[in-house]
Amino acid sequence: MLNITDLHCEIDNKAILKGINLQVRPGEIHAIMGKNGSGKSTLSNLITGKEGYKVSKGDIIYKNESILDWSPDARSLAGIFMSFQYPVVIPGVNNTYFLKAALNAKRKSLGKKELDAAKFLKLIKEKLEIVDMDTKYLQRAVNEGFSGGEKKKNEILQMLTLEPSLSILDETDSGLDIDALKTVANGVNNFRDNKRSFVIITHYQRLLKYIEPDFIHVLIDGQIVKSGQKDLAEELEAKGYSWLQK
Amino acid sequence: MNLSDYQNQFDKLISRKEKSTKFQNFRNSYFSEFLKVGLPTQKWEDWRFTNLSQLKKEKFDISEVHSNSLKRVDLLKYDIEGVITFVFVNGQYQERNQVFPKGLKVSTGLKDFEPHRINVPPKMSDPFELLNTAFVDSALSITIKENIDFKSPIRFLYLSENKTNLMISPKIYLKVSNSSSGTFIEEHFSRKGSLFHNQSTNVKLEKNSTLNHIRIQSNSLKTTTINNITINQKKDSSYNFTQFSEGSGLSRSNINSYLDEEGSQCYINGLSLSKNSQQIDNNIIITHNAPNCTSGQNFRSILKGRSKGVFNGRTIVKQKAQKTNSSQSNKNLLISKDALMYSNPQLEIYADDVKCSHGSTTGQLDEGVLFYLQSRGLNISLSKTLLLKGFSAEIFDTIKDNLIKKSLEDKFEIWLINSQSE
Repeated sequence: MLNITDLHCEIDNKAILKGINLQVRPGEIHAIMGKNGSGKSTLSNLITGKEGYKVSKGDIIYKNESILDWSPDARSLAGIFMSFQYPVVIPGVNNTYFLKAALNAKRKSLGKKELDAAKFLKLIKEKLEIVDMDTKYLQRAVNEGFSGGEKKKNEILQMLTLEPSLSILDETDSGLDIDALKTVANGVNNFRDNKRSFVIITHYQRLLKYIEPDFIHVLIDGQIVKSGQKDLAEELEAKGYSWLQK
Repeated sequence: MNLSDYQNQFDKLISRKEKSTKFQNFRNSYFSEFLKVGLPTQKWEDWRFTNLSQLKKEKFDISEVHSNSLKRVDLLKYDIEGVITFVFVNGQYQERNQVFPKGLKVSTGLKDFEPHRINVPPKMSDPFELLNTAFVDSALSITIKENIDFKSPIRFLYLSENKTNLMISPKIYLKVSNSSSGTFIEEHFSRKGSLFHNQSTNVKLEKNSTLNHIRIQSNSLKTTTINNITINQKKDSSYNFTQFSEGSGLSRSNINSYLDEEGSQCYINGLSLSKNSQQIDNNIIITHNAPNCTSGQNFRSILKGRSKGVFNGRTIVKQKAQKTNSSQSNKNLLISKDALMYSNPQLEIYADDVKCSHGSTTGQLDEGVLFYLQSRGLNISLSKTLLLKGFSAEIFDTIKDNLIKKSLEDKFEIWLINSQSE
């Protein structure tokens, strides 16, 4: 699914990622843990194609193709999704309009017919129920006046609607109360199957109690210093990150 | 066109025989006043950012009465069902024996604008108001009588297809009587030759009346448009104005509203779309002369190419206008690096118990939001379109009539498509 090889990246001549290797196979959930400034968000932005980063070495291979030159929308249409750490507010654009435009762009790229308003509404109502959101959110501008929890649920709603092959959840647990956290985790777990892959980026072990990862990687100063299975998260919770630093 | 060129055109006009000799004297006095005042220069405080060089460079002829009439059958194609349409061709109102619904009084010609009547602009010093009164070619006065919720929109359609340079000076008077309401739409389309459109509109709102006024300006780039609107509002009246401006090389709206009696409301809104070397200026002054009135100004611009825009919004709250509630908002998006916006929201408050806000932002499309949209599979051009639509939505939402709103949204869509290919 995703194969990152020896990835080096810099911003304004400052090295951020210093040789990342990561292989995610279909159906796997990988968690990337690390402190602020370790390069976690840079990694997710690079996978989704945000501008402003210079890749000096290495490659990102998705479904056997290098995607480094691909635009963010091309990556999205190919099945890559990121749940944003800070979802943006889009004044004047209502959620229905936005979700429908995104879904129909995806359907068009797959050679499917665009959904009309009635069919779209039926589909979106099913998805809303999974993330415990009221239909009134559909009529509001995208994320405008949404609480932190509502914004994150809206991200998961978009994931469920677009049905990506690879989902990157960037700090999706931050700012969530325990109920919202369970709802979000439930959304992910329902969506999980043996073909879809996830990369979960997080500070804490909290979310990993509800979404069980297959692998955990610790990112420190632009490098993966340790990889393991779910018991590594508990070890990190108990001991912190300092014992892994050189 | 310098002052002696105006003099030549004026002599030509005055040599025609007019029904109203009173009005001829009136023209004379306004024209001599105009000669004293002269055309604005950029040294005038209110005209600092308005470049009139094109207007000054070109020469214009006044419109001819007889050569510009359309056949009745040709006029019919401009009609819209359920809408009362008045057509002006090259500045001349096209008389046809229209039957108007009960409750609407329509009077054409200069009769209602004679000196002993009140329907003349109060601001004597404005050169374009003076010029308009001196040169008025089509005058129309429309009154909605008392206690009528007048459902059919009243639409003025200005078509100019002049082959030679043309100057037109329409003068409009609109009155909504006590406890009545109505919708007024003005549409401006010009093409072919250079045009100087200098319009004066006077709006009187009597007690408890409502007027929704929509102005659509889609003139060709060879047009200079000056649009003066003066509104006087009585007790508990309500005026909702929305302007959609996408045309003209230079387009300037001067809108002056006077809230003269308690409980009245005035909302002046506009969306300006400019590209190439267009300039769209909006100068709004709302004067609160009485307590407990509400006003709002909401203007948004999208500027491309080397285009320029001006927003001068002023709210004046007189001392006796306690409990005034007013807001001003001006937001501008510069789509190209050569576009320029002058934004100047101002408050002048002499009362102490008021709630007034104002704000202005000018910037570019947010890169973070564009990335977000792209990351959802929308290509860059669709993402930009979506953002621009979102940016403008608030102005379209001020239009209460859904059909008009939809037709303007469609016009906006076309502007977006055309401007992307340029």
